[in-house]
Amino acid sequence: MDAILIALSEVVEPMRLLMLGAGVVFGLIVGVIPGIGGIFGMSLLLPLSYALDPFSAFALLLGMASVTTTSDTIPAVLLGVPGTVGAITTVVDGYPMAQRGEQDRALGAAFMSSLIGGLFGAAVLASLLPVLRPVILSLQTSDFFAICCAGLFFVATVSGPDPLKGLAALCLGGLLSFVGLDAVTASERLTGDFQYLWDGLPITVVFLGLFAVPEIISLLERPPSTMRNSQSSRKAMWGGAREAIKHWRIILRSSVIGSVIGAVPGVGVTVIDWLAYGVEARRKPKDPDEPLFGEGNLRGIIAPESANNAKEGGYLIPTLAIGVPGSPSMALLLSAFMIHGLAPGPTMLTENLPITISFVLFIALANVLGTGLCLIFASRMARLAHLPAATTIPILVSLITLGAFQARNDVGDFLVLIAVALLAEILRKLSWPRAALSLGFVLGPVIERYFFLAMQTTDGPLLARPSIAMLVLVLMVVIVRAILRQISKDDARCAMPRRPARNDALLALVMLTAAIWALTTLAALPWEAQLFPSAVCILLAGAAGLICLRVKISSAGSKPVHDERVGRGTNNRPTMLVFSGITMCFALIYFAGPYPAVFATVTVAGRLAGRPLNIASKQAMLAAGFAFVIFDIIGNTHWPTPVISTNYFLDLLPAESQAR
Amino acid sequence: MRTPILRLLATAALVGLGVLSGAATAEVVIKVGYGPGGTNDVYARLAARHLPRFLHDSPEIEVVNVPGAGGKKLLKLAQNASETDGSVIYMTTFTVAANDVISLTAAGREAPELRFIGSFGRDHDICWGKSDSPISGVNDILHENIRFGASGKASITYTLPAAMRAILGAPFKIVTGFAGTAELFAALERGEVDLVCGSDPVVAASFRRVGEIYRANDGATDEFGIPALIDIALDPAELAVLHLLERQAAPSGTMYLPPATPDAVVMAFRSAFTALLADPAYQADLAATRIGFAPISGAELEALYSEVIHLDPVQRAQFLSLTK
Repeated sequence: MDAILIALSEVVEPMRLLMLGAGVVFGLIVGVIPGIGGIFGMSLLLPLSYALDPFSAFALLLGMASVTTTSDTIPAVLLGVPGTVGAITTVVDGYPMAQRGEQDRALGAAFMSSLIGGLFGAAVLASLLPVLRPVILSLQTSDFFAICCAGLFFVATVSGPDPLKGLAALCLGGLLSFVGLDAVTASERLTGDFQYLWDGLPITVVFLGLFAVPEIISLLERPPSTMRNSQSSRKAMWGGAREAIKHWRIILRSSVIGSVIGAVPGVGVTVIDWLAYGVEARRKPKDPDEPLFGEGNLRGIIAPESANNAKEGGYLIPTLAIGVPGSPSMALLLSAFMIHGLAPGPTMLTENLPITISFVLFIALANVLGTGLCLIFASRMARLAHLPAATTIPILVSLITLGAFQARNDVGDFLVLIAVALLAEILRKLSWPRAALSLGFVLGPVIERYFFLAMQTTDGPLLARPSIAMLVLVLMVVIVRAILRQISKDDARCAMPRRPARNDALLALVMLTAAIWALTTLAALPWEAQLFPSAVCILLAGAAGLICLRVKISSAGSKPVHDERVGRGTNNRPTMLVFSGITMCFALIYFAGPYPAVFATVTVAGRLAGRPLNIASKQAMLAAGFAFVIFDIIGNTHWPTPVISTNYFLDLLPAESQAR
Repeated sequence: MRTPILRLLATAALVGLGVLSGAATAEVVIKVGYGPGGTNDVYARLAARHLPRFLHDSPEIEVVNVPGAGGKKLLKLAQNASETDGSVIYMTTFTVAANDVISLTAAGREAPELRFIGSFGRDHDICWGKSDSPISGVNDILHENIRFGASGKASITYTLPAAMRAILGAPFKIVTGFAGTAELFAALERGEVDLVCGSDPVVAASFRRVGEIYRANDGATDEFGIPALIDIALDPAELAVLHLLERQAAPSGTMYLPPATPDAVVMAFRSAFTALLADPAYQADLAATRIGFAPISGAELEALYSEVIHLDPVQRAQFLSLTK
C-alpha cells in the first residue's frame, strides 16, 4: 500500500505529468506519420531521458510508447495507409468504412477500443505484479515456440478462400525474413553478395511496400464519385465509441490476446493484431446484415485496436520480470533502466516497487490522454478523408519515400521499397493474401530461433511438452474442421476459392523457381543456417507446385480462363504513376535534398491532375514544410548530401573557370 | 503564391533547406553489435552522450543496434565498410574480432586492419549457475546432460565452454542461439541450461559462481572446487594458447573504425576516448549504471590484435580447435 501511495505521489508531480504529456503528444505525432513508428520515437526520446529523474524519464518514454498505436488509426482509416505496422489490420475494415462515409464511426470505435485495451493491459500488468517472475519463469522456450506457431493458424483466417495461396504467401514471407546474416553462425543467407542485405530486409520498408503503396494505387484506381460522401461529425465519432463499448466482449477477448501474446518476447504487434482479428473473424455475427470482414465490419476494427494497445502492458511483463524485452521498443526501455541504475528482476518488486507501479499508472494515464486528444482532434483530421486523391496521394507518396529512407539511409531502402511494392501489387491484383506474407515475415526468424533453442533445451521429445501437444491437437482439430466444411459446403460464409487463372500459375511458377534457387544456395551453408529456411523452401515449392498443378488440371479440356484482373485490358496507369512518383522523389532526395524532392513531387503531381501551378505549389510548400518539421526538426534525420551542394558541378568546369 | 517572384523565393528557400539538411550536420553513429539493454549498449549510449564534447565540432552521436551472431554480423559490416571518415564507430567485444581474424588467417585470407579506439570494460571468465545449483566440483560438469548456454558461436559465452570442453574432453552440450545476457540468465533461472560462462547477470541474487575458467596459474581452484582451466592444461603450448584466449576474450565494449581509416581520424578518437575516461560527468553517469569499468587503450588493443594476427600456424590451429 505504501508503494502505491509513493508511486501516486510521484506520478502526480507536475514535472512528471508534463513529461507524460510531452511523450503522449510526440507518440501521437509519430503514430500518424507512415513509415516511422514506436522504435523511431523511442530512439529519439531515449537520449533526452538521461537527464531526467527515473519517474520523469519513464513518464516520457511510456507516454510515447503507449499511444502510437492509438493515433496510427487515423491515416489507416482516412487514407487507407497504416501509420505504423500496428494499424495494418485496421486498414482492412477501417478504410472501407471511410469509403462508405463512416470514417467518424470507425475512428470513434477504434479510439474507444484502444483506450479500454490500453487500460486492460495496464490492469493485467498491475494484477500480475506479485506473480510476475514465477509466471514468466514457468514458461519454457518450447512454450514460446508453441505460442508463436499458434499465430500461424490464423494464416488460414487471413488467407481468404484459398488456403493454398495463403500457405505459399506465408512461406514466401518466411523466406524473405531469412535474408541476411544468420544469427548463430553469421553465414550469409540469400544475400546475393549485397552487403545491404546482411542486416536483412528492413521491416518498416517491407511493410510500407506491402501495404501502403498498393493501397495508394487502389485509391487512384477508384472513380472519384465513390470516394467519400459524408461530412465528418463529432456526434458520429461518439456514436462509434458507444458502439465499441457495446462490444465489450470483443474488447475483453482481444485485450487478453494483446496482453498475453505481448508477454512472449519477439512476437510483434503484427501477429497480435492478426490473431485478434482472426479470432473475431471466425466468430459468427450476431447481426446477420453486418458487412463481411474486409468490407468494413466494425468488429474488424475493435478487435485489433484493443489488442494492440493492451500489448504494452504485456510487453512490460518479461521486461520487468526477467529483463528480456517484450519488443524492440522495450529493449530500448531496458537501456533507460540501466542508465538510471535500475535492474529488472526481483528488485523491481521490492526496493523499486514504486517505480514499477508508476509504469502501470503512466500507461493508464497515457491511454486516457492519448484517446482524449484523438477524440478532440480527429474530427478535424477526418476532413482529410474529403480531400481529393490528387492532393493526398502525392503527399503520401513523398512521406512514404522519406519514411522508407529512415530505415538505413541507403539507396537499398528505395530498391527494397520498390521491389516489395511491386510484389505486393501483383499479389493484390491476383487476390493473394498479403497479410499471410506479412505474418511469415514477422514470425519466420522468431520461430526459427525458438525452434532451435527448444530442440536443444527440451528433455525428451518436443511433443511431450504440454504446450506442443496442445498445439498439435488444435492443429488437427482445425484441419479436420476445414476438411469437413469443404465437404459439406453448407457454410454460407465459407466462400469457395475462385477458379485459379493462368496468372496465378505464372506467379506460382516464379515462387517455385525462387524456392528452388534458394534451396540450392542454402545447401552450401552450415546446417544451423540452412535447416529452417530449407524447410520453408520445400513448403513453398510444394504449395506453388500444387497451385500450378491445379491450374493445369482445371484448364485441361476447357477453354483457358480469361483473367480480368491483369492483362492487356487492365488500366496500369495508377501503378505507373505511383511508382514513378516514388522514383522521382527518391532521385530528387539525392540530387536536391529531401524537401525540394517533396516540393517537386507534389507540384508535378498537382499539375498532372490539372491543378493551376499556384495551387499545386502552395500545397507542395505545405507538404515540404510538414516533412521538414517531422523528419528534421523532430526526427533529426541524416540525409545524404545532395549532389547540388557538393562540388560536383564545380568539378565539371574547366580549372581556369573554377579559379575565377 | 501570388507573384512569380515570391514563388521563386520560396523555391530557393526549399532548395536551401535541402542543401542544409544534407550538408550541415556532422553526425557520428555508434553501431553496437548487440541488442539494446546490454552492457555494450549502455557503454555506447553513455559514450554518445559525453564523447561529443571531446571531438572537433562536437558532433551529435547516435547509437544504432545491429545485433546478430554474437556481434559477428556487425564485425563483418565493419570489415567491409567504405566510410573512413569516422562517421561510423563500431562496437563489439574484442574477442569477436580476434576470433574472426584467426579464422581468416588460418584460411589464408588477408586480415582486415581494424583501427581500435579503446575498450570500456572487461568480460569475466566466471561461470554462473542457479543459486541452488547442485554443481560443486569439476566432476559435476563432466556429464552429457549438462548444458551451457551461449549466444552466437563467435561469442565468449560459446568459446569459453568450448575450450573447457576441448581440454577436459567433456561430453557436455553448449546451447547456442540465445539473444543476449538477459535471455541467457533467464534460461539459467528456468533450468533450461545449467551454466553460463563469460557474462555476468544484471542481478546476481538468483545465481552463484560455480567456477572460473582462467586464474593466475598458481594451481588454485575456486571456492567450489572447480579447477581453473589453465591449471588443468598441462601442455605448455596449449597453456600459451589459453593465455592468449584469456587475454583476447577480456575486453568488452570495444570501439573500432573500419580498415583504412586515416591515422589522423583514429588519433582524434583515441584522444577523445582518453579525455572521456577522465571526465567526472561521464564517471558519475557510469557509476549510476553499476556496470563494470576497466578501460583498455586503443594502442593496447591494436598490439593485442597484431599478436593475434601473427600467431604461428600451430598455435592458430590449436586455438581454432579449442574454440570449435
